[in-house]
This record gives sequence, C-alpha cells and structure tokens, in this order.
Amino acid sequence: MTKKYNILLTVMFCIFLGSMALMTAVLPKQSVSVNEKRKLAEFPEFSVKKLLNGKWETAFENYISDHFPARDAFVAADSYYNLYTGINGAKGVYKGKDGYLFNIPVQCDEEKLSANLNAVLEFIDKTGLKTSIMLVPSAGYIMSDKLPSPHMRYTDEDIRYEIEQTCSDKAEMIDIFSKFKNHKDDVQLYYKTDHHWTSAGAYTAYCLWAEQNGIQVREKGDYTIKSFDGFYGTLYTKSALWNEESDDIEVWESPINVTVSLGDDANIESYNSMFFEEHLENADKYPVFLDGNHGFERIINADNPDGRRVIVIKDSFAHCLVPFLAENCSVIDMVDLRYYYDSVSELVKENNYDEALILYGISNLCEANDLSTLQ
Amino acid sequence: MYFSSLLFLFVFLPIVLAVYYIIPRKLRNGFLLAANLVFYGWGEPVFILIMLVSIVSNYIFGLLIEKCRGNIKCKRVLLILSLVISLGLLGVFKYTGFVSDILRSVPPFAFMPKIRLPLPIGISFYTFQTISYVIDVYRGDTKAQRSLVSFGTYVSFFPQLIAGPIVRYADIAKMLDSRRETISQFAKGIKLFTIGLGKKVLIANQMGVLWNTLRAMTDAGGVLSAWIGIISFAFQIYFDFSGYSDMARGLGNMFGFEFMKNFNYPYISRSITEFWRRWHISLSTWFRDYLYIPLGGNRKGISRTIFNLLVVWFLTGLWHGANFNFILWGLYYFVILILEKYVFGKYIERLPGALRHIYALVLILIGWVIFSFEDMGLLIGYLSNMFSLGGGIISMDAAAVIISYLPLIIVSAIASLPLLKNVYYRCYDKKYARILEMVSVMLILLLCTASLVNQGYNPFLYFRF
Repeated sequence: MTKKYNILLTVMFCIFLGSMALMTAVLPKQSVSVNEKRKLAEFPEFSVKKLLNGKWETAFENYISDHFPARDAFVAADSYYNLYTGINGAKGVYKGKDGYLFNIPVQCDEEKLSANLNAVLEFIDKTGLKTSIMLVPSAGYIMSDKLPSPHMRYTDEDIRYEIEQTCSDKAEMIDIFSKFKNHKDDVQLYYKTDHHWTSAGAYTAYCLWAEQNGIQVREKGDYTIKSFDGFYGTLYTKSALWNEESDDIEVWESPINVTVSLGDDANIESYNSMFFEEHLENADKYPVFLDGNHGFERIINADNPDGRRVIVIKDSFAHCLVPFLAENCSVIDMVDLRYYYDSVSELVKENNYDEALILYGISNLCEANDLSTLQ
Repeated sequence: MYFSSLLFLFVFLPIVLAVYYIIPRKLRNGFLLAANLVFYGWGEPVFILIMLVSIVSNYIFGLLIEKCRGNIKCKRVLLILSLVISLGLLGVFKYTGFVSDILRSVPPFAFMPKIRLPLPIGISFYTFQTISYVIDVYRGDTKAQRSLVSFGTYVSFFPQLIAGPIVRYADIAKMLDSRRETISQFAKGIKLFTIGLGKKVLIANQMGVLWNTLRAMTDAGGVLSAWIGIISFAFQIYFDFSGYSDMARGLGNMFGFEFMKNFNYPYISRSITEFWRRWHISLSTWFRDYLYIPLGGNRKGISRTIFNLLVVWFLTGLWHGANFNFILWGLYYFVILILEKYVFGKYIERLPGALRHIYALVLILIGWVIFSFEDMGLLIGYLSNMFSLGGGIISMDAAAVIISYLPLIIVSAIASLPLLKNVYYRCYDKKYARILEMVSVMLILLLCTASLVNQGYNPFLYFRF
C-alpha cells in the first residue's frame, strides 16, 4: 500500500512537471497577448556575450513566462484564488457589487501633484488664456455604494479641494463631483469593466460645462445612440477576472459636419467622423472615441464657424467628452502630454484660441509626470 | 535561479531529474556538478569562477591537511591559509562596500570612492560549508574527499546552495559517494518540496505584500497596524526562509540525500534561548561547533563565556547582512541571551506558559523591526509607532487592508504551530488521509504555478504592439 502510494505520487508529480515542460517546448507560440495589449517575448537570439552578461538568461525566462501553456487560465485561477481568499484588489482592482470593477484608491504623491499644478499655473500666466479645469473623479469615489467592504478610502474630495485652493484664482473650476454624486443612481456614469466614464457620464459633464458657459446643449433625444456589446475594458484586463460580464458601449452621434485630423506634421490624416468604429471589433472598444491616444488631434466643426476655439489639455477621459464639446466649438485642439513633445505655449501662440480646458482623471493628475512638460 | 520560478519548476528540474535517473550511477555526481554550475551561474555566469576557486582551493587544502596529519605546525598553517582564502572571498564580496562606507565617514579616508561589489548569491552559505569541511578534516572528524567531482557536488549542490541549510560535510560524506535513491524517499521529497513551495509562494509572498503596504502607511496607520505589520514581516521571513529550507530538503531527497531540519516551529518558543534552538538551526549549530566551542565555550569562567557569546552574536548579526542594523540585531540577541542565562531565566521559567509565549514573541518581533530597517531613523520611527498612541489605534485604510489579509494571517498563524503536523501523524494510516494528501500536493502545485504565471502577467493600459 505505502509503496504503491509513493509510486503513484511520484508519477503524478513527474507527469505534471513533465507535461508542462513538454507543452512549453512544443505548443505553438502566440506572438501577441490581446489581454495585455503587448507583444509577447520572442525566443532570444543566442550569443556568448549575452549569455555572459545575463541578458540571454533574463530574456529566456521572459519567454518561458510569456508562453506558458494555458497561461490565461492560470492567471485567472490565481486572480480568483486571491479574491476568494479575501484579497480583493490584489492587482490594483477591486471587484465591487453588481459587476463593477474599480481601481483601488490612488496614493496621491503630493510632490507630483504640486509640480503638476505649478505647471498648470505657469501655463496660464504665460499664455494669458482663459482656462477652466475639469477633474474627473474616480469611479470608486462616486459609486461608493458599489465598493466591496472593506476597502481603502478614496481621497478624491481632498485632492479636488487642494486643487481648487491652488488654482481657483486663475482658472475656472468645473465641479462635476457634486453633479456626479447627484446623478449616480439615475445614469450609469462609469463602465463596469473600464475606468473611464460612459458616454452618458461624459454627456452629464458636458451639460455642466455648457451651463457654466451659458451655452445651449443638444438634448439627449437629438442624438442617434448606437449601443455595442462585448466591451471588456482596462479593469477587466488588469484584474484578470475573466468571468466578469462585459459592458455595452454607446456612441452618441449628432448630425454635425466635422473633420478630425490625426498624426504628426509629416503625416496627417483626416476623417469625417469622431467615431472610429473599426475598434468596436476588438475587446477594448474605448478607442472608438477619437481613435484613442494621440499626441495631437484637431477637430473642426464646419457647421459652427463662429464657435469657440478651444485647446484641450487632457488624458483619455477627453476622448469621450470632446465629441459633445465639438457641437459648440469651431475648432478643438487636443493635446496629450504623454505623447506630445513640442511646446504647448508655442502652439497657443500660433493658434488663436479663445480658451483652454484642462481635463484629467484625478488619479492621473496625482501620478502623471507629463504635466511638468507643459510649457 | 530560484526554486519559485517557472524556469526552475518546468525547465531546469524536469531536465535534471530525467537525465539524472537515466544516466549510470557513476556519472551522476559529475552530472549534478554540471547542473549545479548552470543553476548557480544562471544570469551571472561570472560567479561560477568564484565558486570554482572556492571548490578547488578547499579540495586541495583538505588533501594537504590530511597528508601532514602528524605535523601540527604544518596542519595549522594550512588551516589558517584556507580560512584566509574562504573568509577573504566572503569578506571582499560581502563587506567591502560596508567597510568602505565606514572608512569614508572618517576624515583621513573621505577621499575614498564609494565601492559596491556585486554579491555572489549563496556565498555566505557555501563559504560556511567549505570552512566546516576543512576544519572537520583538520580535527580528524572526517576523511578528506579524494574526488574533486564529489567535493564540488557537495559545495555547489543546488538544493541548498542559495539559502541553506548549511550542510556539514561529515553529515553527507557517505551519501555523496554511496547513496541509493528510493521511491519512498523521492515521494517524501515531493511532499517536502511542495510544502516549501506553498510556504514561499502562497504565504510568504502575500505576507510580503501586506508588510510593504502597512510599512508604507506606518506613520498614519496607528499602533495596531504597526504591530500587525511587523507580525506580517515575521510570517514573511519565516515562511520564506523555512519554505526554502523545506524545498532544499525535498529536492535533496529526490536525489537521494538527507539534510538536517533547519526550522522547528520557532514561534512556539517560550524564551529567546529556545527560539535560537528552533530558528535556522544549521547556522546556530555551525557557530556553536566552529566558533563558540573552539573559543572555549562556557568552560573558562563567566566573563570568558560572555566574551565568547559576544563574538558569536556579533558575527551572527554581521553574517545576515553588511549593515549596522544586522550587527545591532545580533547584539540585541546577545544581551537577551545573557540576561536569560544569568539574570532572569529562572524567573521566566516560573511564569505561566501564556506569559512566556508573549514574552518571547514580543522580543522576537522587536528583533524583526531591527532586522528589517537598514535606516536607523526609520527603525526608531517604527519602534516608536509600536509603543505610542500618537498615531491612533488603527486607520481606516490599514484596517481595510488587514481585514482583507485576515484569512491568510490566520492560516499563517496555524501553519506556524505543530498542530497540522500532529493531526497528520495521527491520521497517517487512514486511507482518506492519503487521498487528501495527494490532492493537497497537486492543488498546492497548481496554485503555486498559477501564482507564478500571474506574476508574469503584465497588462498595459495602452497599446505596446
């Protein structure tokens, strides 16, 4: 009995190790990980030099790790194991109620925040532009009733207060915090599997912007709203909780005539829609709005030639909002400091903007390094 | 290379096991030696040279010392020479940076550049092994090893190369040259290895995350979070280290070796003296056999005993790392051990058991604070957080984090007790226990694999194609 058992245990162990090793060696390799949005490691080219300085070994380990058999299944197994043993938020994402996923609270880096705010203030002084600031609160702060318990405290309100104290003399604050808190139960403001706001959320913010600027908005009923299912966003891929349900993503189209120009000086391409529906075929559909991240994008509204000329300094939250703003503007230039490397004040000098809008998700403003390049 | 990696589990180990059992017995030590060197040099092949110097020099010294057995003077010179080389290598690679920093703080040497040498992994462990070998040969406790391959296999044996246990040559001399691998030993090895892997991957890594999170909150976390923080570090270091030792013993078994137990439930100790009989046993016994007793031990009067202990504990601290906090940590235990030995040990024995456990645990935890902070300012800051209510009891954030880790904290606490082991031995004969054991082994292996795969899962928010 004992001997049989020992043989059985040994055989099981060897089969497990051996089969995994064999599969690692022979299974066909994928070149791209859709969930991770990156290329997977290639088998490292061997050279004695690389072997001696350890680079080959590191590359080989990455290769093994990237091409492990049933990788997605193992990743999910570990993610759910953590979740069910109590550790919610292991990958920086909480699983909340009603299928909501949330980024855990951002740990605000005070130095970075104040450097970023100083950059903004200097920019306002230097350009003399009328500037408004719109901060998008994190979903976890607004939808606190959907958070798991226990959870860490979301300090968005403290950060917003600090920013207001620093900037309200020089810029107009568009306070969507209270508006969102009031509407969170009647409008789905945020996606469940993505950290961005929904089109309805962005529309709510647009209404507040319009109200504060004395502008008439297009009524919700005047949009053609198309809905697409199967949207799996950033929180879904970050958490690796594959069993979560997908979101619907809505595109709110209005009949205005727009031209969107993307790309750098050498290679500018123009489109006549702000919605890039080819992205709807992917799991991550958020780039449907203005084709995702670009350093510089210009939107010209031919129907409103006397409208405002606005420069938007922004992160990805703007992609969903700007199509609404375009309604009331003649030109909107979007600058993403993560990918825009020229001087923004030069850009302001060359273009005759009426105003600037600084639009950031609050966590980005506390963590990002790029605002300090605003000059 | 580390045991808790996909590379080791699914590339290195299967290949080494397969080849080892296919080739004839007389080639096995040679193959193991080659495998050891690959394991050791993986990522840093240069260090293989240091390893080879260590192997060859001590091999030669062993033979020479045995040869001039009759000539005490010659024997002594050879021993000293070999110690100078072994300790010299250890000293140069491990302590140069530390010593140069101390010198630089003294005006005449302020011109010196900041020196940082890379630390060859495991050098603290295998240096102690080679020293034990040469001293054992010197004392005539063991015969010198004739085969360079066998000796090299012993010094560089990959299971215990990186984190011990420190195996005395005399303990495995027989196994080196004539061992019979058996299926029951192999199965035992699988169980030990799996337990160790689980300790490391499923408990220690998580406790490390908890500790880092709580440490970052330290000033704002409150007194309770400071205590739970250092408890999580205590779990991290114990499960990490003892997990590694278990894996080493398990792997040793798979190749037909038996290593000594390195940890014996240290957190159930009722005094610090007992703690050091249960914690990192192979290191304590090494210091006892090769330093404390040769210095005279406790046979030369109280003041000499105290001096000997001072030397041992100063060096024990220094062995753990090249920094003042490790020395302080060693001296901290020196003071407590002296006090237990000569002042209040006998009173403590009369206390109720619960109080003795609390006494030992509190001192061990304070020890871990000293151990974990290399920066004296942070160290004092953390200690004062543990003993003041200035930061409140516990912050909301710290409470949220601790509650989510509570199940694992409880598991860690239970796994620190011999409870499960006792239950296991009681039911071992039952059939369901076997089935349960096999299921557990496979489940732990799967969970550890999942965790290791997940570590390599790095999604980008934006495209990186």
